[in-house]
Amino acid sequence: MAKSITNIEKRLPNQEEEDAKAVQQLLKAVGNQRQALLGLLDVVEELQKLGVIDMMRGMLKNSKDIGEIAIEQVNKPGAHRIIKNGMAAVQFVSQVDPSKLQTLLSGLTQGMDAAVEQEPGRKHGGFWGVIKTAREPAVMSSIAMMMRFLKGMGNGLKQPTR
Amino acid sequence: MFSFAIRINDREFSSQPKQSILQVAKTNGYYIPHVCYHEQMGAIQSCDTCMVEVNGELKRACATETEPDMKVDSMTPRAKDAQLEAMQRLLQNHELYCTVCDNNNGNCTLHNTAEFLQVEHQKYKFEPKPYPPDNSNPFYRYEPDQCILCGRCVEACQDVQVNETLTIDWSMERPRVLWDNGLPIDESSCVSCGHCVNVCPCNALMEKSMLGEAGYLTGIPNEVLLPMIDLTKEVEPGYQEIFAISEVEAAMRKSRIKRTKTVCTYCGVGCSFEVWTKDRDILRIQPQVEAPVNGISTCVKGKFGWDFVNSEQRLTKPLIRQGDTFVEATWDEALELVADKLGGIKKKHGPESIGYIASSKCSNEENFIFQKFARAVMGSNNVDNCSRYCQSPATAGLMRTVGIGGDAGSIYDIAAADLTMVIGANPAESHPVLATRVKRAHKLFGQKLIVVDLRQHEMAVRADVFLRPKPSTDLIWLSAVTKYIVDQGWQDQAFLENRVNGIQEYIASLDRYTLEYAEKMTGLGQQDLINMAAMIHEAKSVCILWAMGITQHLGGTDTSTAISNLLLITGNYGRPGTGAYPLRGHNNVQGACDFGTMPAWFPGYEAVQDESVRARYEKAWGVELPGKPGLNNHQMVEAIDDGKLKAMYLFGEDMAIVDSNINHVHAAFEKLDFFVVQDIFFSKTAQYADVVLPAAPSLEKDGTFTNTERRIQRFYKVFEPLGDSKPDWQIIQEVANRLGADWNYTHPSELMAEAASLAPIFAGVSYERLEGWNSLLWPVAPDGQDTPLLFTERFGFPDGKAKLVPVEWTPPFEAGEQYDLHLNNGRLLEHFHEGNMTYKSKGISKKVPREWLEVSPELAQARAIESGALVRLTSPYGQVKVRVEVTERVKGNELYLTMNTSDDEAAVNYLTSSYHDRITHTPSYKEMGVNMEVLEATGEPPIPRNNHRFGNRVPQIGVRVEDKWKRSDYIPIPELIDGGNHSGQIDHQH
Repeated sequence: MAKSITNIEKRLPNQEEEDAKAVQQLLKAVGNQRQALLGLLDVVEELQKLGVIDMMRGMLKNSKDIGEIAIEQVNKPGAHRIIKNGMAAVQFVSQVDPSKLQTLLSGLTQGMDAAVEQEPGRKHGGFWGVIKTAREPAVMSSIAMMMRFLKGMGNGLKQPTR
Repeated sequence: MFSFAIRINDREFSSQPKQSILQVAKTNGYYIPHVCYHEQMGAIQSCDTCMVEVNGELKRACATETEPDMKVDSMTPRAKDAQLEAMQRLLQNHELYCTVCDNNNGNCTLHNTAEFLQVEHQKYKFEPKPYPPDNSNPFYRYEPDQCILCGRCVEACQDVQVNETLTIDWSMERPRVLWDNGLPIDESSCVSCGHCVNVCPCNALMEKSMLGEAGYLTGIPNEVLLPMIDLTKEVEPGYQEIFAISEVEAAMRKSRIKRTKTVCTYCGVGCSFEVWTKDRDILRIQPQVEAPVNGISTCVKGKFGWDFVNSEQRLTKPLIRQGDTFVEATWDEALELVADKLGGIKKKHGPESIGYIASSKCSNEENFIFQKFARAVMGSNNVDNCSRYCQSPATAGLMRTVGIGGDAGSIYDIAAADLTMVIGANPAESHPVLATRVKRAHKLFGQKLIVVDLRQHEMAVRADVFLRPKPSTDLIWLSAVTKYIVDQGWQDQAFLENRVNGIQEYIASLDRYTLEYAEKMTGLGQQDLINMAAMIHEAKSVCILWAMGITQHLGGTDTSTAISNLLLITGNYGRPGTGAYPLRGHNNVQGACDFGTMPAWFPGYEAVQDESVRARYEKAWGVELPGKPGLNNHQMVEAIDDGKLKAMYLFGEDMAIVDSNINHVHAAFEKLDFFVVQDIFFSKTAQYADVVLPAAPSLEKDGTFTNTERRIQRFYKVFEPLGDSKPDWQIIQEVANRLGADWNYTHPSELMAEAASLAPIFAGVSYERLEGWNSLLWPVAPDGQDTPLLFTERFGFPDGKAKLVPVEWTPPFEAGEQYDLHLNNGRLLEHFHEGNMTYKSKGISKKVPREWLEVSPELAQARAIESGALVRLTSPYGQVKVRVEVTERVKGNELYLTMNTSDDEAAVNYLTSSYHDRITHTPSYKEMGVNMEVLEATGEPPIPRNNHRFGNRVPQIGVRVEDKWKRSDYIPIPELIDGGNHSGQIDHQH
């Protein structure tokens, strides 16, 4: 004879058992990853010494407030410009052919060296001196390069911006 | 059908006639951008992103039919400009913040198309719509600001689900999706089926369970999130960079959100879908076009009803009865006790003294191992499942006429039929996704629909012909219609001569079923019967669907037989679009029967009396098997009462609620010496147990289910079993091993392999062949060839011919004169059965908090009651106290009590009797008289007014994109691209 019953007696030591089981599982996992965990603990110790952990805790616990402040700071016209310019610069760099840049930069370096270096015994040659110097092949190729640059830039400026 | 070649971008593809350019591209794995086109729904033509050049003209690839030698370009500057223009128009309605969007899971159609089209910047500024988000529905939200007005949701609601709630009013200044023409979702006719959410190509319609959960950044509070979106937009370098970041984020989500294919555990339709989970949280149910039964379709239970899996009420430890308390125990203690007691009782009283009740909610493999346990280990055929309560009469009726007790074809045949008849079934609520196929065929493709039922349910409202016979008289009108068809010479003579036995004897047996007799007995008019006969005669193909309205009667098997006879006489078997379709109620009630948890059948419907069959199993299992059919559910209860049955082992079945006349059943349970109940919840039945074993539901194990079509489908483990619960097959194996079985099944696939090796109809079934979305409809030949449509060549008898079986009408049970009202009962859409799983969903419980009694307006007036009244119903067997809903769904003295409760005061089976179908012992649940006593004439109505039953549908075909094209601000894309030269040439096919 089994009457309908609805009482269920949960075993009280359950929680302890569950905890013990959880600890067992953890210990097993720790044992399996002993080497990696020891390394990690070392890193943690260093971070603790540097105060990084304290700082991270503070940031994480107040992440919503900090997020709001950060986003507020970033969401200003100046910051917008920095980001946009930064991205424009990055975009510019991404479009330049490294070998051309290399040529240009090495020319620039030599030019700078030449510019600041005083050739001993040579005086300013006056207007004619400049003309004369301009006829030197090295200077001519520099000027021709600049002309080509100006032409290219002009073409670029004529195209509508996005 | 001739195929021909077309060229797309200088590649050649083969096309079938009537295919669109986009279909040809898709079937060949070639990508043409598109957003609104949907593989299952076809061309909607609202987004314009699939513009291509066809022989030089810009056209929509989705709606342009291919022609031989057609030349299509999707990559020319003009085509690309057109596609980009279309995308820009969409983005005017949609704010791109993909990385912080919960829909950024790699499958966002809008994201992927915009990325493909290399959208760099917004051409038309995003303008918020002047409507707030609608969060009123418990399960999903609509965010107008993200809605691109593609119309997929409307198409799905109007023409796939055919609930006809959603529209877009193109005449509004800023159009939006509307529910019932502009109500909050929660107050509309929306049934929360999820179709609209399933097909939304972006995040406008989303499951609430996804919001703030799916992404790494989507949980950020709004105070931070909104400025972040502003910042991104302010400094945006172009969308391509944003897409790159969002792609990375989407890829990261893959390891966090698990997607597992499963098969629904509710009704017998057998929908399959992906379950998206994050740890133990279910984020969404995502159906896929590949799902063989349902495609993108779901119902409220399958889409949103899974909270039960993580319910705190789950059983997680074995329980042992000690005095008047259940005490938690270890598995060892519980299993030891079960083995000890069952072993002892078997020894003392013999193998016949124990009964085994299997579960139609559990897998094929679990049913297989359970019957093997009962037969091979315990030596008893006393094993049965809950099909005894529902579809056994249909199975029996089919077995004696066509030889196979399953649906004759698949859901595709039902959709393809010229005429569908629904008798004593309410598929729109009980088999919702299957019903959508009938509703769609009826709405769009001219399928005729006849509904015969006591209640005017949704299918009845939609039917071309709806008839209400007197209760329990279906056999008479079915036979009268059949007789009329024969009298007119409308029978399929060639079919009968070639394929059917017993014609003369059967036709002679119809003599008494004249139209006059039928009219007198059923209350249906003669002209109605003649019309019905004419419709059946004129239809090229007929499917008949039925359920408990036919089977749960004293003559349930005979009426099922009469249905099959009618189909045979008219030749409606063995061709596409024809056949008999008993609609199975549970996810695996078909499979439970198929895999042998029946007292007279081995797996695959081979009789236990058949010595050669028994010899095959005895050889395989190395034991001697009992050759006498065992007791069925009903006989087990009687045997307990008689003191012959001493113990029972039951799993996954709440017999104390779902059997009829449960006062009687409860008394029997109290007499058992030992009772083992295995379930996921502490059910009503468990209250009578001596040991309760905690089982795991489908999401926590592997296995297969077989749906109403005979389709076997795999489901995969999503979670580990909760607490100490275990999959049923493991528990059964452990019990068996303690009783000496020495089994070592490590995975359900091994059980399926064993079943396939023993039962010929499953010969070619294997887990490999069922991988992923693949499925098999039995019988399956050894080479894996399955049988979606039965009887194309032979019927299931040795000579291959069907049998016409004469049947006689059995008058229904009469409760007596003082019980003046007829009580009908059944399921409803939102809850499954008694609701032990669905009540765990807060959303479902909010929509439908309790059971109700439907009372006709006439009766309500006569008794001076209104919706909300409290009444007591009394039958000869018991009484219940329930609240009234006055509705025209029922008529006259007809009552309908929903069965979604296990409340002792309201469960319908306190009223039903133990009378049963004379052949199968299925209780005659549908035959009861009651009297009604008014306790309170008014009160709170049992159905909240924001239930879909009080909504007002807005039927229309599709999203009416022509109305969009007529707007003054709509410029056809070719016109814009070519400056007006091509106006008038776009493809207005709709």
